[in-house]
Amino acid sequence: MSMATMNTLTQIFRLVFDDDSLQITPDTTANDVDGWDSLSHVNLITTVEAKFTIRFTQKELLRQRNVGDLIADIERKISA
Amino acid sequence: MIARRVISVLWFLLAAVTCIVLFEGLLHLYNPNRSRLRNGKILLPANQTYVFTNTDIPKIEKRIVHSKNSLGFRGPEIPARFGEYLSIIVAGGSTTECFYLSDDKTWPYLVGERLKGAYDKVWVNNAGLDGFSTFGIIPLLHDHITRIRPAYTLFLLGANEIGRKGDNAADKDKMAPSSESVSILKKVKNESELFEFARITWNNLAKRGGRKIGHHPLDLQALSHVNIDQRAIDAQLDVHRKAYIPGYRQRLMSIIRMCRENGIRPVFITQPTLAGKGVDASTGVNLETMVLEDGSSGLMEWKVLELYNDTLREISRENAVPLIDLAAAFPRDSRYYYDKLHFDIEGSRVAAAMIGDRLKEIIAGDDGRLPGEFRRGDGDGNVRHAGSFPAQ
Amino acid sequence: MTFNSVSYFLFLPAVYLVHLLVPDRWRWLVLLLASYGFYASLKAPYLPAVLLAVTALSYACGLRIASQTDEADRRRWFWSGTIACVAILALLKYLPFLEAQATGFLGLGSALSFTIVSVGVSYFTFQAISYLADIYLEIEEPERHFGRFALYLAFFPKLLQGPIERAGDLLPQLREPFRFDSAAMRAGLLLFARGLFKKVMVADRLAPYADQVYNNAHDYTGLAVMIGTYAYALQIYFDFSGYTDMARGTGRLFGINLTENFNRPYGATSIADFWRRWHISFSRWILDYIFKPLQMAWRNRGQAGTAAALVVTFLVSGIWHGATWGFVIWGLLHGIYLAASTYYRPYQKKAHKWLGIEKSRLLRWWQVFVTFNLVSFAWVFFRAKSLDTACTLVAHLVRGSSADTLRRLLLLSGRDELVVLLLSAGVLTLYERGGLGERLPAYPAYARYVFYWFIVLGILLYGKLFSNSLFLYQAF
Repeated sequence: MSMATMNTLTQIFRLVFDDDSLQITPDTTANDVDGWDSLSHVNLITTVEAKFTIRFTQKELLRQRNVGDLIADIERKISA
Repeated sequence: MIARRVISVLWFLLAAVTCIVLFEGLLHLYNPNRSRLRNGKILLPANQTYVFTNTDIPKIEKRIVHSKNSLGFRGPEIPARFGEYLSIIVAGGSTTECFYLSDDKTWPYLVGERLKGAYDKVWVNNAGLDGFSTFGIIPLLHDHITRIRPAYTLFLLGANEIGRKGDNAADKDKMAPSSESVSILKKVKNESELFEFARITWNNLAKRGGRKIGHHPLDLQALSHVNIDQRAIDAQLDVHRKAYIPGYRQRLMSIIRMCRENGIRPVFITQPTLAGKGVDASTGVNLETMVLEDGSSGLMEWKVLELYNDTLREISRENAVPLIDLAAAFPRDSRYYYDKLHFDIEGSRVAAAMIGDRLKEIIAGDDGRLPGEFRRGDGDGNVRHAGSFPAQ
Repeated sequence: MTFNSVSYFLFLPAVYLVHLLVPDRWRWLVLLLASYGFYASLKAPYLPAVLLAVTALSYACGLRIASQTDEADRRRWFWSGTIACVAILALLKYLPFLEAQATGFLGLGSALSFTIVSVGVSYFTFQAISYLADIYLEIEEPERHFGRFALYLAFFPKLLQGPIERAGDLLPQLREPFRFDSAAMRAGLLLFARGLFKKVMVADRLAPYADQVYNNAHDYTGLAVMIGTYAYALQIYFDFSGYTDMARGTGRLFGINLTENFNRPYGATSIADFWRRWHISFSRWILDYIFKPLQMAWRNRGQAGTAAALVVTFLVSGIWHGATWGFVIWGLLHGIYLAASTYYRPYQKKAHKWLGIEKSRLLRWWQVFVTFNLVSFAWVFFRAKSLDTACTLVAHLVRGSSADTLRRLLLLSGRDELVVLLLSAGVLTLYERGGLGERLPAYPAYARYVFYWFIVLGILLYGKLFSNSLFLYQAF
């Protein structure tokens, strides 16, 4: 997992959740981040897709359980 | 080690005793299973549902559901805007209560349904109680019915009046217990709510959901026959006329007075019976000579009952109380009875039709002077209040 | 049989005893037979057959999905299994409704001479679908032991009314050997008693008030309608959470932890929060398997996409509950509540922050109050037997109500019943808030035994036990 991806993702999180001090780790899940309930999750995903110019499949999205899964999917798609 | 176990068991038992005492006390404050409405002398079982399993009597249902509402009567609860309803309470004995007919098969219920055809809002409650006579009905009227103030109260009287000089077991069953000196154990048995509950639950479980029926079917064809001559019958009638009828007249007058003082319109209904003149239409059995009770014939029983019915007729006439002469109109056919007095499902329907139709006439006759808005067809939409009737 | 019937009180100890005495490797069989027996006791012989069909079907599809490597094949098996389950559910639940509509339209009488019972089918078909989905998404491995899989669907504590268990939650527990644990047994029995208490002491006492208003809608206006509706809101909560407690308590006796279904739902501060606390296993199901996929599929339509996904999800929820307009409107209302909130919530949050009240307790109470009323309003459509009744009641809400009507309504069951109701609710609150369940083992023996006797006698003497009333959510 590259630091660059992690950094970009952190910035995206901070942007979407309007919190400049937000820190994420691979284990961060929906319960940890304030505001990351189902309705803001979709904003996160669309921003990630726009930023990295990728598109997740339905199956990938439904399988993601935490930030680690998200990063893994991102990296797999960038390197593809 | 064993000592610890024993102590645990002792604590357990002590806890049980504590709770038994506690609940015995709580139950005396309020027992939902035998909820009794205690107004004055009369205790009524309220919010009860009885389920009976009937294997003996073929002419009624196999599974009978009998419910009492929060008033202790059968029928719907008092509706929100009571004054807008044609309200009727029906009082009487077992032939009114229809203990072994399900709620929707009893004739008071069916009368209500019949009236709904002619009136928008009808409310009928069945305050019949097994075994009740005017001795019990008077306090019932005083304690319960006058508080409700229905527009009409119907009284089906006769069978339980015969030879009555005072409260009998059935009346007493519903009355508040008097403090007599009884042995402590018996007192506990009588008074303990927990004991009563345990007994009832055991009965329920043992019968697996259905209580047994207390009435027995009448097999007309198995009866013996006897001819009792007119003189013997007259002698009996004389006994009743001297000993019981005067008291009966007085009690009827009390009833009329109590109703009218409280703005309730009384209606009397005479008591039909299977016994009497002629031959049974269904089985061909001679209804005059059949022996239902020792020393008596069908004809004699009928004549005695008619004595009481005549009293009712006279009192009605003398006091301008509307009368429904069911005794005269009801067909003498065992198809409609399961014993000499009690209607079966068919009989209940026929009785309801007769009573309902006659009642419609009576109400229509009163039409100009009734409170509330339940009359239909008043073209100008006015609501007329008779001054002497209190609004609900 | 239902949980609050005499037969269940005989059934449960019998099953427990057999389960305890039998060697561990046959325990699943005891539970499985007991579960099918339990289902058969409903006297609708086609029901166990339907359960078996759904079991076989999802077992087979599950194995197939896992064994295929080609994505298209996996998807095909997944959809086949899912559609078959939905079809079975639809047939059982909606056939009578559709048939009545169709024959009514054609002017014929109904051909169905018997009522089709479908208790439990909604729950286990949804559970089967979640199993297939989890396998398809490669979150779970399929269960190869058919008996254990059958038990996963049929387990009698959760068979009739849920909770809807995820494969990842229940299957591992079924694989564990059973170890007798007296603490678990005590916890299970207490939980069961709490559920029974909720049902026979509180829920069944609230019923008459709601029934009176809803069966006589024309007679009640204003505050009386509110009272009747609040009574129903509380009734359905105590009824359903009571059932869930009994289910979970029973499960614990067998060493199984079923998922929680309720988390103080009327303490919710928003509708979204409400759905995280009410019928949790069901709302998580529609969240994971309907809402999220739809929302993701429509993610490029911004807020409108999410709003639409919400409305569709809750419409499905309404339909799942039953084939009447009342349920559909109820679902739609919740969908609209949530859809609207996606639009105004950001502004609302900003406003609260700006006013500095976002942590205020008063604000929380206000939010709880508003949420409860929004939910209660939706319950009107849920409870009313017909759309006509619901509209009448809603129209009546704005009118006033006479003091006499209110008094008569509140005293409907008599003053004593009302007192028992309030006291029971009080006892429950004390028990839950005080955490009595956990603290109990620490109390001296006498106190503990008094508590147990008190609860048992209380339920026996004051509970509406032998009325055999159905649990409300069995109808869905």
